[in-house]
Amino acid sequence: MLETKEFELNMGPQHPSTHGVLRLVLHLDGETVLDVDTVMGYLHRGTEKLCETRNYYQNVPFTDRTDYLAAPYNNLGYVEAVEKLGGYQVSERALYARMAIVELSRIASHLFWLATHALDIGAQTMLFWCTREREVILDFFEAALGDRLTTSAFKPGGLRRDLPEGWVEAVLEFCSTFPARVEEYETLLNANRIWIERTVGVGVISGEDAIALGLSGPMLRGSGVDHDLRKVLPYGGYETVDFDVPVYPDCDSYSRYLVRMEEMRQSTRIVQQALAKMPEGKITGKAPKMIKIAEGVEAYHVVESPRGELGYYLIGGGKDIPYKCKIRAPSFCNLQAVGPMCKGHLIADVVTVIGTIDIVLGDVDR
Amino acid sequence: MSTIVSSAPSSSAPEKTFLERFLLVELLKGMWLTLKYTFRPKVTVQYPLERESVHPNYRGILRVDESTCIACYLCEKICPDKCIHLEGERGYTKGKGGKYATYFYIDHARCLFCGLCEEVCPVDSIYHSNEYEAAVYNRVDAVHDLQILDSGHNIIHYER
Repeated sequence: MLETKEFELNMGPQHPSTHGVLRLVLHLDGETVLDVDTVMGYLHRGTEKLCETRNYYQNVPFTDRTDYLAAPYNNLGYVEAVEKLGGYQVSERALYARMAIVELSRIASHLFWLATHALDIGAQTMLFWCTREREVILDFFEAALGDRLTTSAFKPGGLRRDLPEGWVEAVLEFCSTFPARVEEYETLLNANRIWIERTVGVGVISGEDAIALGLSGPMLRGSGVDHDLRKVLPYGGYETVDFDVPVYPDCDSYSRYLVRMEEMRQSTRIVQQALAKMPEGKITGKAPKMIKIAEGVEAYHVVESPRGELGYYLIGGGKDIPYKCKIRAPSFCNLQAVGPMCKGHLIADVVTVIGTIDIVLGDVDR
Repeated sequence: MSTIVSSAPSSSAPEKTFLERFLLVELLKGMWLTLKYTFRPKVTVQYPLERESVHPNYRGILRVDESTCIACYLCEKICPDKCIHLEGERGYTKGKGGKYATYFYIDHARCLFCGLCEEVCPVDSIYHSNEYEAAVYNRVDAVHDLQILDSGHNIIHYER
């Protein structure tokens, strides 16, 4: 008998399909993965500590840099936490404008997830098609928020500036054509036998395990758990719009793909409703120019970001700077599942598993 | 409350008949779709040769209007990165009284392009231009002094 022994293989930190600087130490038996050690921290910038030295307005640009693919969502989480802390009212117009913007960012984030995930598996067309639609959304951000990726869009109480003229009509036109694009993606992928071979039954994690590991977002809904914070703990006016939460019970990468595709369609519906409900009026809000929160006052606010449960825990420091700002990053918690999901699969499937988790390393390391 | 629909792994991928498998129907459908795209107009922009204009709201490289600056230090104070440095002096210059900036440095290599300085400026002296081509060969070149901030920096354009 030939003697075999466990073999260690280093994947990353500069591997193109780890979506950033993530290092995985794979323990292999031949080509089968026995165990995975995750090494991270290569992109650590100390955002939480930085937030303790800047005031409440100055911290907003830092939150962009955590989850840079859906920056408006991070702004929303932080800004709503500050509003909770100080008890500031948001104007009706700002509320619905924010909802439309963050849902557009969810579409942009899912599009880029689909582009990179499909590229990892070998479907190159998706990269070009998805970035084409994402480009349109980024142009909307450029016009309304001032920047394409790191938007720093919101401030406590509302938005920085009013939406430009003709913006609403342009977004509504995009929303009317976008579902047809999603259909095109599905024509290429849904029945594609390579896509099915590479995703069905890969990265299986049961609903119970997903809850036990603290997973959230599409990871949870792809495992058959009906849990969406927009429905469970409505924030930012989500209780007034009508949308469905897609849940697929198959627990594999294919079902998470279906969840995200359906979420893009539902987000389009939310954008349309939010823009229809948006009244005229002031958008900048009523928060004071210098926010001062008393010592020991604390607030925790969770939002459903494209990746899952994004939480901001703030404690007031007496002056104009927070005493503590803890970020509950969805990518960080979802990354735990990479070990259990890879076990027993081949090396090539590790790439699929990393892709299906939809991690952003800026969000993992902060 | 959250409910678990099912935790047993099964497959939601579409079922195919033997004929569909044999004739590669799904492959032909996809090929037909991509073939149709070949005859549609292109969406790519050949960047160095053709440039897209950005929206006026876009936050590009920072500029300072020297004649209106009153050296109030608000931009220096609000900057989250501390990349703005200025020094003011009291006196009469350029036909107006009050305070004016004697030196003004912005390190664009550290700038977040967040627009907070633009927002707090009481006289709209500091503003984001629409210029986005900020690449430089040395880090020192990314630091703009008052003269560059007032008149704009030199952009080396690509030439064939």
